[in-house]
Amino acid sequence: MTKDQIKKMVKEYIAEHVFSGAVPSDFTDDTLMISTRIVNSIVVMHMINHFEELLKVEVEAHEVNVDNLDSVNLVTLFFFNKVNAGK
Amino acid sequence: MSLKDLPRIGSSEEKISFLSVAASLLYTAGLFLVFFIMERFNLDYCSNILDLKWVTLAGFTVYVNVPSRYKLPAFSLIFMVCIYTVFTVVPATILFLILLSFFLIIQSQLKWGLKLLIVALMMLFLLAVRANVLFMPRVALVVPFALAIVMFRGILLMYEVKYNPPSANSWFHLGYFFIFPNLAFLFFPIVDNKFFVKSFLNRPYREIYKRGLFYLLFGMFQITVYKVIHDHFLVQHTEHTIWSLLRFTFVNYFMILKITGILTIAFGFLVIFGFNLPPLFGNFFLAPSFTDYWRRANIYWREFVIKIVYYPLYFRLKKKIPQPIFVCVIIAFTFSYIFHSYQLFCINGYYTFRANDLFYWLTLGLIIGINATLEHQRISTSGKKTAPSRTKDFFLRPLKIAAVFFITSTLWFFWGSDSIGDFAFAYSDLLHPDPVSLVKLAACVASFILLYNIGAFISEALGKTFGEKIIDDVSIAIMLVGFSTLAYTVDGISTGNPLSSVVRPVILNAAEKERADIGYYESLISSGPGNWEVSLKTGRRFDALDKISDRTGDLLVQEFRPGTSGTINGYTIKINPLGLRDLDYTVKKPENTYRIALIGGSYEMGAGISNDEVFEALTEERLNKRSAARKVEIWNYAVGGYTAIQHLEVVKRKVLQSHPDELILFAHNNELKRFAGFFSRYITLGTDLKYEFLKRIKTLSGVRQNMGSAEIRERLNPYMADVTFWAYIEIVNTCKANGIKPVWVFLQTTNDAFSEQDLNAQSALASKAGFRVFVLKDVYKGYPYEKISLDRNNPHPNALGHRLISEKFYNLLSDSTNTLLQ
Repeated sequence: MTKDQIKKMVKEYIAEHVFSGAVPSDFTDDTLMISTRIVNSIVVMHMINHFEELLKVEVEAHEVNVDNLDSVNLVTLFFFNKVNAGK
Repeated sequence: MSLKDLPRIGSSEEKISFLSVAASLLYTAGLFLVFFIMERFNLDYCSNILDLKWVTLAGFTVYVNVPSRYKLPAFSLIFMVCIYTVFTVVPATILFLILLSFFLIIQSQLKWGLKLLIVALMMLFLLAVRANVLFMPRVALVVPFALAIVMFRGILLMYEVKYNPPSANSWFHLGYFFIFPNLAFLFFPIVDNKFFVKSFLNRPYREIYKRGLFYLLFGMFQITVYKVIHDHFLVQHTEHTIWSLLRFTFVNYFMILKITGILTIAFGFLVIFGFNLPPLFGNFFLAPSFTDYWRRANIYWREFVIKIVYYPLYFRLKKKIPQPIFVCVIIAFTFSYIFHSYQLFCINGYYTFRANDLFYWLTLGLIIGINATLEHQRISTSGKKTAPSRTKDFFLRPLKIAAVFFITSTLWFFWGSDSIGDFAFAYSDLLHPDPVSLVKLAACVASFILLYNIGAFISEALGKTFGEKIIDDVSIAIMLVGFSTLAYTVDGISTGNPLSSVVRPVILNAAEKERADIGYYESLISSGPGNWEVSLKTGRRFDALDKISDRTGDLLVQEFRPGTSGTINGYTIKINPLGLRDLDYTVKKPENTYRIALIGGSYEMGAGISNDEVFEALTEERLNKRSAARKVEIWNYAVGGYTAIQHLEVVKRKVLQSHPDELILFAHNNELKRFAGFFSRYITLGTDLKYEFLKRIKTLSGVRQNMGSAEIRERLNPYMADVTFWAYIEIVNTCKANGIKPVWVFLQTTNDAFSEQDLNAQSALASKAGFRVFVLKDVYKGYPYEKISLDRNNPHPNALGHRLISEKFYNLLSDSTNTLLQ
């Protein structure tokens, strides 16, 4: 799976579950989501469960942090590395 | 981030110019004004930061002028200067070495397991010293500070070291332990190491400084609001109507502003030193759901619990158990309770189990667990939400906010109650709805819906970045100038002026004082002091009392252990071989000696001062200097917390043995009300009431051991005059049967408003019982409360207060027309 494919999935997820379909115009792939409280821990947990199932990867508790999950780009990179690490 | 990543000298940002010098002067001037306001508004009771004022100002001046790469070392250096300023060399060095050891161990190349073992052993050592298991006075002096710094940050840093080996420069980790404002605010936000590193100078310093200054002012604003509400709106719930109950519950909830204000100021001090940390609180008063409330209330605490407990648990259990979110939230909240207790112990040095604490956290966990599970299910089942209906939102959202506010404020009331029984007693009023209360409540809810929607409309019109816009130069300048002007004119504000609440220290109201008295008593019997967050500065004054006193298990409750001594907060308390806080007298009365037995409570015992400063000792010394031919002995039988029944027990069990010529019993303002509080402890503790009269009072009042203390007090209140009168008659009869002259003296307290009615009622009881009655009038005349009391929340007289009492007491005894000492 390519990085672009993962990013598309991440953006779709965010659009659907965080913004109910109406993504703000100023939201970019680098917008900080956890630090700025756009997403909460329940959404983060749900997102992780969602991508764990979808991408057949496993996330560990200590990996849930702003370094890995704070923006669309970081989430993409995190899961992309996970998918590739599994190969 | 390392120091190399920060701008260097010579970069365009850091060229020294007239503007940069002017800016640094303005920064320092801003901080100076903050200190000026804090000082003038008497905010020193919230922290000890004013003790570090000059070090902070000097350090800050250096800090803003050094290049960015030297700012972290400068930050750590300020900590060093602070500790050597506050402590003497040895304790300061001990504190430095303790923190350095933590830093070196955690930074070392040792295996993580070994590091954990060493850090755990070091923590155990500090906790043992804090609990006085290890007696090391000089170490003990700094251990609360060391624990306040490492208790949570040590855990967080160990976590980081294990899972995300830190790449940051060592100065970051040293600075993480050397956060100097933590010395002044022992109750400090749990700063996450990752945010600490990432946030440092992550924006131009000017912006960060503005945020810091805003938080400092905003923290002061919160405390100011707290003071105004405390002084003008905190009316006790005495009417037993739903309206009275809810009004008290809601207003009482706003007392939380004191805590959020203190934390915000502490946080602001960190931000102005370049740590551009995320906000500490959201507006939790307006949370529309419980999960949202939890997200907004003390965000750093929540993130700590989530990181250390919730995530590790959830990832372990999510595929193994049903409803993992609910289970993990409950466990996380149980740990939240444990962490609170741990924090309480680290800072105050004691821990007492309170069922309220545990049930508060479990109830909050239960509510949030259910809310979080439902929220998770909602995310799973419905991807795209339907657009909310405007009409529905008009009513539904404010109603949700009102419901969350009601439940969280009720929980806050519950947490702060003396016992679960007290809470149940107060809230039993909900079972008796009255139409007036219901109408007032409905009007309140309707007004809130309207006001909320007006506020939402204005907020929408101003744009969503309105909150950020608040933190601009103009609004900060307005707050700074406004506060400064008020601070400058403090001296001209009279007591009657509503603004006096803003500038004068908080004076406890009658109910709080009553609770403080109970707290004092509870300290004597080693039970809880109440909500730790509002009694941070009170400290553990009475733990040493446990070492010099014994519990009797009867009506006396507690008595001094003969021949012991102890030091409490710097003053010595020495008990003579007869069990009195007094000189070593011989039981057999010497020739030409007039002996007085003095009985009373904490005022007469001399709470908070040394033996030789107590008014009884001063008076005795002066009387004996006056006349060498006839010696006067005043035996001080007073013990803190003693009231009428204990006085009777003291007379019967102790005083008679010393064959005094005269007995002087001291009473104070609100004695009967206070007495109800102390009497209620007999019921709560199941003490054998011994006398038929007391047993009859128990039956008549209907009090039971399983009732809350508030209900017991309320039921006992009508009988307290009768019990006091009975005890007085017993004392008088005992005295007269043994040739002792009974004397009753009224001594005004330092803080209670004098009531002629109260004095008349009490003196009538004493006089009718057969005492000779005297009143010490105008004892503290011309001296403000602050000058004569131990501190703002401890009304016991200080050394000066005792000297003033002694002056009046001496006059009373030496005035021949009173025919005392004869």
